[in-house]
Amino acid sequence: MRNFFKRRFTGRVSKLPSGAFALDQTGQIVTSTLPQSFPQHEMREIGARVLSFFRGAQRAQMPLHELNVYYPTLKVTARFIRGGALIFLSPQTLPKN
Amino acid sequence: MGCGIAAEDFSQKRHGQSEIREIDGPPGCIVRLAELENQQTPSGAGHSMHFSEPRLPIGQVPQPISDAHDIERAGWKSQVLCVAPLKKELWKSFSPGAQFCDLEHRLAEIHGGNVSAGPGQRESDVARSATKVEGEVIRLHLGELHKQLLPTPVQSEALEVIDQIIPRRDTGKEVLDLFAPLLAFDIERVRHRRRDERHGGALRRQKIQSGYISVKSGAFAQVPRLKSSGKGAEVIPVAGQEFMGTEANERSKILLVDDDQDFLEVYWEILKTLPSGPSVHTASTGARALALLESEPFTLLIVDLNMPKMDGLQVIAIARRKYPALKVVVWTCIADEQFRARAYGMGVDQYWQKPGSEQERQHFLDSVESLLQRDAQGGFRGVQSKSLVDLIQLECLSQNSTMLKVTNGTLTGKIWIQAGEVFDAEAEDMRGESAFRKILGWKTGSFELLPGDHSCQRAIFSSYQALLLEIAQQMDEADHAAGPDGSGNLDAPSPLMGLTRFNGVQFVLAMGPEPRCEMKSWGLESPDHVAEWAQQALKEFAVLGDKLNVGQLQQVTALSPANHVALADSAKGDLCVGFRSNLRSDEVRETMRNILAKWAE
Repeated sequence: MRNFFKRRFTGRVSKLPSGAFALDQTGQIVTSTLPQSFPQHEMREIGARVLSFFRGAQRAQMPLHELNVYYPTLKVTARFIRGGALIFLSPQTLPKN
Repeated sequence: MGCGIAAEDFSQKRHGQSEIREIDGPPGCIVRLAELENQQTPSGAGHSMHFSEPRLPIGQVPQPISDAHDIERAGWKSQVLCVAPLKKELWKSFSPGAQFCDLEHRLAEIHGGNVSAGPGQRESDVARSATKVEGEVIRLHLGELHKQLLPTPVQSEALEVIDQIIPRRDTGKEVLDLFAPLLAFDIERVRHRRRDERHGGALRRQKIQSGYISVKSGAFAQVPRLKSSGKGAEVIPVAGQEFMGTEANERSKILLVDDDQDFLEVYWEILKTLPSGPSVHTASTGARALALLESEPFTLLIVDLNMPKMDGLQVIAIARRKYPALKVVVWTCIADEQFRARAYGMGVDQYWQKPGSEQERQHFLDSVESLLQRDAQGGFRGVQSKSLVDLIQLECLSQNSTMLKVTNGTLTGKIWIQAGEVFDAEAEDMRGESAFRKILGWKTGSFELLPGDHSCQRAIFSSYQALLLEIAQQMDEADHAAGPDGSGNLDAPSPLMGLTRFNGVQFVLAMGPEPRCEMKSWGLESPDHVAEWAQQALKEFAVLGDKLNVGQLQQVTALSPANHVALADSAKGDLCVGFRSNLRSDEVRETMRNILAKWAE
C-alpha cells in the first residue's frame, strides 16, 4: 500500500561539470581536466558553439577574445587562443549564508 | 519658523568660510548643498560659480512645475539666490536666464517681511552671517509638492520655504531621512566645479566640495558618493546605479574620434570635467564615428587625422556635408601645413596638434570649452548675442543698401537689402523667399556686409517685418516640436536612447521577437551583421543550456581590448549592448542586468 503512494524519480541526476578543456582550431579536444563521467560529445558541443561564437564575432567586425555565458547553475568562460579555445566550466552554487 | 531662529542658527555656525548657493527653480523640489574650500581669491573679492546644469535660454520664462516632466523641461536654473560674496554680474554672465534677489529680501520674503537681527546686529549682518554658515543649509521649496506633503491645502501661489540645518556629516542620509516618509524621490548628487575669476591672465581653478540633490519623482535612489579628488562636474554613480538624469539630454555632446585607445580613455576623462559638463562619447574608427553621428545630434566632433581605413579628413568631409551645424576640431600629431590648410579648407573650426604639455592641454581644453559655450549661446561670430533677425532689422531700419553674406559651416547664403527692403536672397540652389527662410534658420556662423548690388532683380516682395514675423513664428513652432532636448534634427527620439545613458554604453542593438524581428540600433556601424551574429549566438547558447540541463540562459558577455559586448534575451526581443573596454566583466554584467530591467519597462 505504501508503495502505491511512492513517487519514483525517473530523471537523470548528474553532477555539474567542473574543470577546463582546450580545443584546437579544428574543434578537436586537445586536453581536459573535466571528469571522465562528463560525456565527450557534450564537450565537443560546447566547444563547437564557443568557436562558432568567436568566429561569428570576427565576421561581424567585432573581434572578441573572452566569453562568459551565464546559466543559473553553470558559468562557461572561454578564451579564444590562436583559433582554438580554452574553456572553463564552473558550477554556480547559491551562497551558503 | 521665525527669522530670529534662523539668524541664531546661522550665528552659531558663522565661523568658517562657506557659501550658500541656491538655485531655486520653479516651485518644486530643489535642495542645495554647498561649501567652498580655499575660497580666497588673490583680490579677496567675490567668487563665481559655474554649474554644469543646463541653462535656461535667454528670454525663456520658467514654466510652473507640475510633474517630473515639467521639471525636466524647465531646467533647474530659473532663479539664483545670490549671496553677498558672489558677484552678480559674473553669475549673470554664466547664467543669463537667472533671476536674482538679495538674501535680505529673500529672508524677508520667507519670514513674512520681518528680518529680525540679534543684539548688535544689523539686518544686513543677518544676511552676511548666513553666507558664512559652516554647516549646510538646505532650503526646500514647496510648490505643488507642498500639497502632497501637508494635510492642509496650500495656496499654490504661496511659495513656502522650510529651512533645515543639516549637519555636515551624513548629509545624504540626513536628507534621505528627511524626505523618506514624505515621498519617494530619485536623488542624484553632482559635483560642481568652481571657476575663479580670471586674475592676471591666469585661470585659477579651485576645488569645491559641494553638490546638489535634485529630487525627482520616481523611486528612491542612494545618494552617489563623491570622489575624494578629481575635477569638474561629474556624476559618480554608485555601484549598479547609472546616470540617467535628464540633464544628459540637454548638455553639450562631444564625439571624440581617435584610433589610439589610451588617448581616448585619457581625454574621455578629461573632457568630461569641462565646466560645461559635456557628455562625451568616443569612437575608435571613422565608421563608428559616423554611425554615432547618425544616431544622435552632437555639438562638437574632435577627430584625429591619422587613422586606419577611414582617415580623419574623410570623416570630416562626410560630417561637414551631412551635419553643417556640427563644430569640428582636428587634433593630430601631424605637424604639416598642407594638412592644416586642407582641414581649414574643409571648414573645421580649429586645428590642434595633440597637446604635449600641461599648458598646451589646458589651452586645448579652454578652446573646446569656448566652442561649446559659443554653441550654447548661439549668435554669429563677432556679434554673439545677436541673431540674423536682429542684423537684418538693423540694416533695414537704417535704410541701408547692402549685401549680407552669411556662412554657416560649408553653407553660404546671400541676402540683398536695398533702401531698407529685403530684395532677394540666395542659398544653395534656392532663391527668393525660400532662400531667405533657409538662411534665417541658421543659428550660428559668420557674416559679412558687402556693398549692395544695384543691378539685382527684386525677387522678394513681402515687407521685411512680415517676413521676419512669419519666420520667427515658424522657428518657435519648430523649437516647440523639437522638444526639451532640442533634438529636432532627428525624426523621432530613438527608444534606445534611454539605454545609452547607462554607464559605459557604446552601442545598443535591439532585435524584436520573431516573426517580425524588427531591428533598432544606436551607435553601430553595421547593425545587420552584428544582429545576425547576436541572434545566432543567443539561440545556440539557449539550446546548449537545455541540453546540459543547467537552466535558462541568463546572459552572454564577451570582452576584447577594444570594447565589451553583452547579449541577452528578453520579452521584447534580443538585446546586444556594447560597452567601453575600461569596464570590468562584473560591471558589464551588472550594467546589462540594469539595462534589461529598463528595457523591459
